[in-house]
Amino acid sequence: MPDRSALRMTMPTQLVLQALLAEPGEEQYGLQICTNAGLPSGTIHPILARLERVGWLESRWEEADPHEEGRPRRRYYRFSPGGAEQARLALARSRTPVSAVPGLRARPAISPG
Amino acid sequence: MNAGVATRDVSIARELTVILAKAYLSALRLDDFVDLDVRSSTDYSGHSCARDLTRHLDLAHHLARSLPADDFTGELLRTIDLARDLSRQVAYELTREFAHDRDIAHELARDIDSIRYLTRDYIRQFPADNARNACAASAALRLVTVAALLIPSSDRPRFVEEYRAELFYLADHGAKRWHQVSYSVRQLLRAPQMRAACRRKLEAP
Repeated sequence: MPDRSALRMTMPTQLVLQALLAEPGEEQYGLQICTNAGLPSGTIHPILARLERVGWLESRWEEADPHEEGRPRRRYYRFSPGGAEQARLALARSRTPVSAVPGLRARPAISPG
Repeated sequence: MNAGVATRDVSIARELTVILAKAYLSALRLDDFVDLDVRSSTDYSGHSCARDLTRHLDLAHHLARSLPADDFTGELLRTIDLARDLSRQVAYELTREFAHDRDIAHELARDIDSIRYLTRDYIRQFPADNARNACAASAALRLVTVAALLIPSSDRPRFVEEYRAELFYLADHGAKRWHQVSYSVRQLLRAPQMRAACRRKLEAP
């Protein structure tokens, strides 16, 4: 089994988990997660990779032909079965609640549309 | 409006713009040519100019007919038809004599210019589709490629595609060049973390 203790609950990690937990059954793509977490674009991939590593998240490519759609495929992320519960527990255990840091979620980010 | 149809219409309108730009150049050449008033040498060159122009306008007419039938397209077709009639008239006059050529050529150039503006307005009806054709900044693309080089080769293709797709969507939503480059710099700065995350995933039992 992957080593779950290796996952450090940094503030950005907590923000990403909270963004995903807002709609735990839904898939979200990278820029959407950035926007929902209030983090700048280009900062969450290591977090997502770690969350995938510990088995909380799973990802897949959008089922669309880029040539037909005229745009690239998106990579979608969602909680794995049991992943959302693990994330909730980890957030509850984490020492620094995100809600205690005023203005942290208010960072502007580009709308993913 | 159906996205596929809109994309096709924009594509037609773009092609139309190129054809009309060529027609406009032909009309300008014709205009300059008539201004010179070198009647002794005009027969062949002037006629050739007018013939090119008519050919371009025939093609423009054909393309415009492929666009959705609405008031805008109707106006576009009427103006193209007018320009086409004028260019035919010029060609006809050039084969005979040069009476009234100057006025006709000026009028023609003006009409074609107005068609170009009409077509440009038409394309502006589809801002999203235009943005879709916008590319991410090349510097930003190069930076994410460098960032991906630090990721283990087994995961590299996935993340290259993901980073490039995100740059595309940033550009698609109007992100300025510096914003795209900032995204890439952040990816580059986090490349060691990405590498560690991917390696640990590989090492996990």
